[in-house]
Amino acid sequence: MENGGITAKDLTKVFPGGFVAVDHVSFEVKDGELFGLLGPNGAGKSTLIRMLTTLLRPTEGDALVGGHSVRTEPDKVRLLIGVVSDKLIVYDRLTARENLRFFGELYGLGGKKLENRIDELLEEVNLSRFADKMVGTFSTGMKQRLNLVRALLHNPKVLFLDEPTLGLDPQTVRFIKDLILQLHESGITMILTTHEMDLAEKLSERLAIVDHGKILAIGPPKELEEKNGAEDLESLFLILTGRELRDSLGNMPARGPRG
Amino acid sequence: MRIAQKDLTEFSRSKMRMASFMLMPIILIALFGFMFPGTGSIGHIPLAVVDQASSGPGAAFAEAFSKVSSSSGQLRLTYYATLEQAKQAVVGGSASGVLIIYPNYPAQGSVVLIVDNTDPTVAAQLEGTVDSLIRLISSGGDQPLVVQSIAPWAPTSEFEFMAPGFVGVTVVMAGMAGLAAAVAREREIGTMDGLMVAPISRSSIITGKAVAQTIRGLIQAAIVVLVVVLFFGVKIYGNPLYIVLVLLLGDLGFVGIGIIATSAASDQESATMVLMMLEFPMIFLSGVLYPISQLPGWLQDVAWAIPLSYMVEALRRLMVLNAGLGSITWPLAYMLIFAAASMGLAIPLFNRAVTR
Repeated sequence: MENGGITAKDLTKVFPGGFVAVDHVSFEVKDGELFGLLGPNGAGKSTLIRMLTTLLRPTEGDALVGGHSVRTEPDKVRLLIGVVSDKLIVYDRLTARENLRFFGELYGLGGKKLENRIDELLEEVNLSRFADKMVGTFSTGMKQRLNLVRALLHNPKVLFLDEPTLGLDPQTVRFIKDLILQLHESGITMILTTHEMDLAEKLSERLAIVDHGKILAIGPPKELEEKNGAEDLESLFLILTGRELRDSLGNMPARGPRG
Repeated sequence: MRIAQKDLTEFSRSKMRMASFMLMPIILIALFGFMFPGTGSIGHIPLAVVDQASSGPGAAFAEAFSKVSSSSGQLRLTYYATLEQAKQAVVGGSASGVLIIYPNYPAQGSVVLIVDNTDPTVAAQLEGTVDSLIRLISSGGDQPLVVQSIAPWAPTSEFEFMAPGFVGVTVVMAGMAGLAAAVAREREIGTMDGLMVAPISRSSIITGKAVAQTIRGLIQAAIVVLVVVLFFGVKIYGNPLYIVLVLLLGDLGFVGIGIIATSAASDQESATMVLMMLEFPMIFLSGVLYPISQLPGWLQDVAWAIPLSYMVEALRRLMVLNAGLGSITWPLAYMLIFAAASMGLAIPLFNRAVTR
């Protein structure tokens, strides 16, 4: 079963010190689905994503990504996934092309095929003109566009988008939104985490709202809103996760210094 | 003023930094205190003796010399059959000089002392000791002693002694700190995740970084060598290939230490602190600035437990004494073990640190 579906079963992460970041989470994402993952800061979203992308080992439970276990076959999972987050995975002192070439080679690509793929992807995000410029001279928006296609080099079946629009201008947000929809058309499975309710509501076919390491609700956004008597996603989110500000200490180990 | 206050508050809240901040000066001062325990305390300088006089006044002198040196405790004599063997003992580091006693004692030149000028402090001390012992035996008359240098040239300064050490230290400092910084940078900007989600092994990530750092280290060493040769007149006699081999092994070993520190420490700053705490005593104790043979006995034992000591020793013998591989077998073997052990420990530690 090598499609782009995800099946998480009892996925759990307990950090040293006993903090339970993700608590027996089970859910399923269908092949080709655009799935939203929402939750307040420190809810466990990032930890969940890091387990699904093989960056963290689950303490308990397992997840199949594209049919492969993140626990026992992380290398097979890595070949199938692409990862984009607000932390840009591009090197400032390499040119755009050198960046893509380097990451392409990590995936075993090379030669004319890789060069063609790089040209094609740079064209896609309007960066062809800047192919041989140092990435350090790029604006944040340009870097995120490059970062996006970096994750697409090896034609992943599953794309993880962790806050891909954080800190970007409306133009770039719009561009990324269009790109996500276009990728969705092409059949890639996507997991999108974001705090932008508008984006999540418009893009996600289904979404899950996570808090305190557990899934509070899962389903198509409209359905969830109706069920909970919320007028939009934002009010649904606040109904489910409460209105208080999240002030807790040492709650963010997913992005700790070793992150 | 506000900034100073903020900085101090921040600083006082990092236990790691506080601890090393307090410990560092104490360690350094203690180290210097022990390193320079006052003058005249040098004893038991190892001297290789070639006794060419089997009978006559020469033989009598040889016997008398052996007696006074052991009773005074200033020299430790080892006898060799041929001059070549004795010289090898010096190049190999087991003796600080060679004394040849000819049958025509007490004619001038009948006692020849060959000192190892790559270590000027010991050489001077040895010369003085031997001279005074001979005066003790042969009261008055001719002065039989002639002093020669084992190095193929007359050393011009103490710097000749230090230059090989500096080359070694450059590699070590760069190796330990450079790698820690490279790993920390990738973690901080987030690109480490990009490497981690790629279908490549954890080991290949750190191996790649270690190779890059090792190459950088070798380039730096080459720069230091060039500078001491061009601007300070230091001559290099040894085989460059062997020198590169020693640098490579030392470099790898200390890059490993850098990886271990980064993997074990929670953040970049603590890693740097730990590395600094290691670096300073190492540089002072490993014979870079001050000969190990001049340290008090127990401190010598400490010094010979430091891998850098072997690296500096091997480099000095290669660069200054034109030693062959045979004379540096032991330091080389030690460094090979060190490099293998440190990398062998570093790679799994790194893998564990990044895959929790």
